[in-house]
Order: sequence, then structure tokens, then C-alpha cells
Amino acid sequence: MDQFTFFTASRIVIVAGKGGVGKTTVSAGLAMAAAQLGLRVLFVELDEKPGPERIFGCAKPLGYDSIEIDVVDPQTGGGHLSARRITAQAALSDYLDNHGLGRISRRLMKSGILDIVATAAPGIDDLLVLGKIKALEHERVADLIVVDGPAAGHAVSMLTAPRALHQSVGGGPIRQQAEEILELLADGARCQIMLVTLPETTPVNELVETAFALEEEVGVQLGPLVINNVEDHGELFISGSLNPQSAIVRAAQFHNSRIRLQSQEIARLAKSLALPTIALPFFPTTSGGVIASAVLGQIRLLA
Amino acid sequence: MTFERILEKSSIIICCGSGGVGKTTTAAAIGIAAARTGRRVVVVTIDPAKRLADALGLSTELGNEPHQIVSPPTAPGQLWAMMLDTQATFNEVVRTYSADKEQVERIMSNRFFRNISKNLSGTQEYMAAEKLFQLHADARFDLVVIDTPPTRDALNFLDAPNRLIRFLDHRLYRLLLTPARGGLKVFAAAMQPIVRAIARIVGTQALDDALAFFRAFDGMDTGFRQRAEQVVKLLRSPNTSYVVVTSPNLETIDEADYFVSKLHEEGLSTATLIINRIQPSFASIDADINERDGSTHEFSELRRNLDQLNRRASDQALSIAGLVAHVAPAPVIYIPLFAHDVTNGESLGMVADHLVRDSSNLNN
Repeated sequence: MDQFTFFTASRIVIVAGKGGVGKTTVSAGLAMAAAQLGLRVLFVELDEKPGPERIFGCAKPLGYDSIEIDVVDPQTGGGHLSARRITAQAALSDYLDNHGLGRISRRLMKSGILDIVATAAPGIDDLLVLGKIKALEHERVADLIVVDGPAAGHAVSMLTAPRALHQSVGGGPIRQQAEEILELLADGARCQIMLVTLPETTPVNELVETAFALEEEVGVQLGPLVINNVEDHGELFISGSLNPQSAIVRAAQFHNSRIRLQSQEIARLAKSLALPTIALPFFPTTSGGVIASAVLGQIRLLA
Repeated sequence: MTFERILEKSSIIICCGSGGVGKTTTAAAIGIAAARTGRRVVVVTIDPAKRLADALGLSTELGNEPHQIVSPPTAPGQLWAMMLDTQATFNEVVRTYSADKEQVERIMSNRFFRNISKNLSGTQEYMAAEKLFQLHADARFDLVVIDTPPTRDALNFLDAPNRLIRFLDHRLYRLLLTPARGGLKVFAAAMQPIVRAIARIVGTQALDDALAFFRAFDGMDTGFRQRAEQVVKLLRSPNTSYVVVTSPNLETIDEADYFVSKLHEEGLSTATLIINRIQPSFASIDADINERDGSTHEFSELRRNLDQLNRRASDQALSIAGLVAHVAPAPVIYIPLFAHDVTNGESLGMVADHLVRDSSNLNN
């Protein structure tokens, strides 16, 4: 597939997957790859844990305000990558400022108001964050917004929050906000989800569950799947003349059994979900540039 | 303290870590290892994925009540397992603290209650803490092993009872509760901007629904508060052990490290660090390889594979060094990456073997 077509398929890509599958690595790599191609890209981190900073080589933790990221090895001029972290707390403060409540917003923040608000209308923290992303898309701050989605199973509850609130809230700004986010999520040209997994039994099971839940409960469009840590060397031939107890043979047997498990799981994933797949190798590095070029190489292989 | 000693003296073991590190599997394996020493263990998973059931080879789903596990064998102790049902637990709580049937009815029919008792943020953690407390008090068990939601949520879990107390103590909440009838008009003038701001964010409808819920809830808050305080005490008891679970890749190591720091900030300590799925290392090239084999293409492929696996093993050792130092003097247990995934009772038993074997090696 043409790499440019790939990255302009939608304006927002939310990367989701269980912790430990390399979600942050993949989303940071995608963002950098798109910037290398010449797109204006915004990377959004939702989690408070560190991670993207190391991949991007930033000295300071990402905050609510965007910072510029050095695009390693740009292939075309004009590319541009910025990154920010959006938390519910910061999004609420921003919302209050923009709704003429800036004056009391500091007082509200100090009084732990988010606790009250979140308890009065659960899911509102998710809605505030999605609302901010929607506003950024609306303002066209970038050609592509890559969101490093929330950890683990939280992705489904985050994306179902707008529907839940839309159903439970009779009217007012929340309902309005929820409605607009539902529209955004339903429009594949504006927003897609890329799910990340590992070529192993449990992660594949979970990816399939999540994919169905997202399609049925949110109605969001799923982009290509990413399988991370794919071993690229096939099964090894072990000569019968070698000592079966030797380290070299035991290592080969270990490799072969992992490879068999991997091909079995990749085949099962393909059977369960008919979606294009990007296979990424194990990265012994956290350099954004290396990850980006692997991502670009794999996209070219897509049908 | 060795891990055996932790299994022996703890009455609660809380497994923390990010998703995908084998936390549920580890919780189940800890349950098996403890039961083998004669303890009566219940393992609770509050992770939405039904993995514990899978790992234990159960074909039926685990309900909100513990079921005894017969395979793998756990004599002389017992192993029970359950999956938290947030809604059902919340309903139990309402029934426990309500004054009468009418109050139960009023609460259960409230839109706001139906909304929060589903899987929306925070509720799951409150209910997990409640369930933990119930099981701890249950005479059938002498050890509760709890599998928490992934890192960020696991912190909420630790904070859930405190959050509840803070919420109940909140000046604003008290003011919201004060008027017995009437809408927003009755609030004191000083409260108006804040109430208006909340209404602006959540809408008057949601605020009204919430107020109706809190009024229906009136009188139950004392029971709730007492329970929350007891849970806080329980989470800080010396017999409650925090086990941090991770896998050896950079992302999950970061999360585990973050969790260890958070525990420390809370004045709690990591009892044991368990690192799952460690790449086994192999001896370097054997001496007994003959010349003819050594020169073939197949052989150089095998050699490349051996080198690659060993390099990966030493890279992993390097990546986890900081975390291992961070949890010291807590024992660290290494569970190797198996040739196959841990998906049945037998392989779960193997993990349980490693838990005990490894820690004794490290601490003798």
C-alpha cells in the first residue's frame, strides 16, 4: 500500500491494546513515520506513565502543552511532529476556561472537583479527554493525530463512555458533547482504531474480544492490526548428528516451538478477523527512528 | 523475607502490574503454591478478561461467588476462585446497608445508580475493595489473593476506599445533601457558582439524578464510611503483601517501576517482584561440535539463533537490573518464557513450582 494513503485514511488513529504488547512503541513509531513522510502529526499520550519520552528522546515529561519532537531522518520536507499528554484533569480545566468558568476553575480543581464530577456522571473523565481530541481534530491542528490509547481493557470502556452518557443524560452540554463524539467515532474518515497484539494465545484472544466489542458497542472503524515482536527467522533445521543435549540444539528447539506457536496464532487471528495486518519485529532499541522505518517498510507490504 | 514465608504469613496478597504481563496467571499460580502448603486460598480476578477461568481450565464462567478448583490438585490445602461482578456486588452492598426494602427499591430504580453500577470508572475499584473485605472475613478462607486491574486502575483500587471517604466527607457533597427537597435554588449563595459549574459540566439532568440518588442513599453513608475505613486498615495491615508482577520488556518494566514507587509513596512496600516470561539463556557454544557440522549453512543458522537468544537474555537482565535494585531487599522471582503459552492447569502448576523453587534459590 502507498504509505501516504495509509496515513491519510483517517485524521485520528487511536492505538489500543493490552499493556505489554508495545502499544506506546507502535503509536510513537506510527507518528514519527507519518511525520517522516511529510505530514503534520500530533502525538497524544493519555497515560500518565512514562514511555513515549524515551522513544522520542525528550528530556522532559510530556505535558498538556504541545512540544516539538525531532523527526529523525525525514524523507520529505514539511513533515512535523509535536506531542502532548492529555489527562482528564487538564482537559476539565481547559473545558472550564473555555466555557467562561476560568475564574472558579482553579478553586474547583483544588477542591478535588473531578472526583465529584466523575462520581456524579461516571465516564465523564473519558468524555472530557475524547472531547479535547475531537476539538483538536476540528481545529485541524494536524493532518494526523495519533493517540496512544489508554492502558488495557480501559480502551473499550473509554470508547463506550460517550454512548453510556448519551443514553443516561437527558440533555445539556454533556449530551451534546457525547453526541459529537459518537459522530466522530462512527466516521471512519475521521477516526480509526488500530489494535496491537503479540503473536501469542492470550493476547490474540483478547484482541479478538476487543475488536468485536469495539465494532458492536462503539461502531468504530478498525484499521489494520499490528502484531508486535514477530520472530522473522523461520523454523530451524536441526541435524540428527548434533548432540541433542547441546546448548545449540536446545536453543534451536526452543526457537522452533516458539515459531510454531507464533504461526499458529497469526493464522488464528487472520481467520477470526479479516483485517490487514502489519507484523513488526522485536525491537532491541527504543529509538523512534528505527521503529518508524520498520513501520514504513511494513506498510509498503500491505495489500 | 522469602516468598515461602510471605505465602505462609500473609492473609491477603495483592498482585499489581500492567495488563499482559501474566498477572492473572501469576495470581492463580500463587494460589496453587499457597494451597499446596495447606492454606485455604481464594483467588479473585477483577480483570474484565475471563482469563483466570481459561488458565484454570474451567469451561464455565466464574460467578461472583467463589468456586472450588479441583484441577490442578492443591492438597493439602484448598483453592477457590471467583471473578468480581461489579453490579452484583454493588447490589449486595445496597441491600446490606439499606434501612428497608423501600430504600433498596428507590436506589435500584434510580437512573444514576444504574449508570454508576455498570463498569464505569471507579465503581469497579470500590466494589473490588468491598469484595476483598468480605472474603477476608469469610471463615472458609485464610488467604485472599487478588488480581487487580492494570496499573493505572490498580492505583485507583488502592485509593478507592480513601476516595469514597473523601467523597463522603466533602463539604460540597454535604451541602448537596442538605436540602431535603427542591432543586438548585435552595443552595446557599456561596455554593451557587460551584453548583452552577457542575451543572454546566454534567447538565442539570445528571445533577438532579445524582441528587435523587444521594437522597435515596441518605443514612447509608455511615455504614459505607465505616466499611471504607476498615478496608483502608486492611490494605495497610502487615499481613497484606503487595506482589508486583512484570514481564521483561521496557514498557512493562517502566510500569512496574512506577508502581513500586507509588506503593512506596503510600508507605507500603513491595513484598516480592515476579518477572514473568524471562528469555531462558543457554550455555555458549558447545565444545563437542565436530568440524564438519561447524561449517554448514544449517549450523551457522543454529549458531546465530543461539547467539541471538543469549543476547536477548543478557539484554533483559540489563533492562531489569534497575527495577530489581529498586525493590531490594524484597525477593525477586524469575519465571521463564515457556516453549508454549500457559493456558491449562498443568502449565499453571509449573508456574507454581517456579514460584517456590526460585525464591528459595535466591534467598538461601
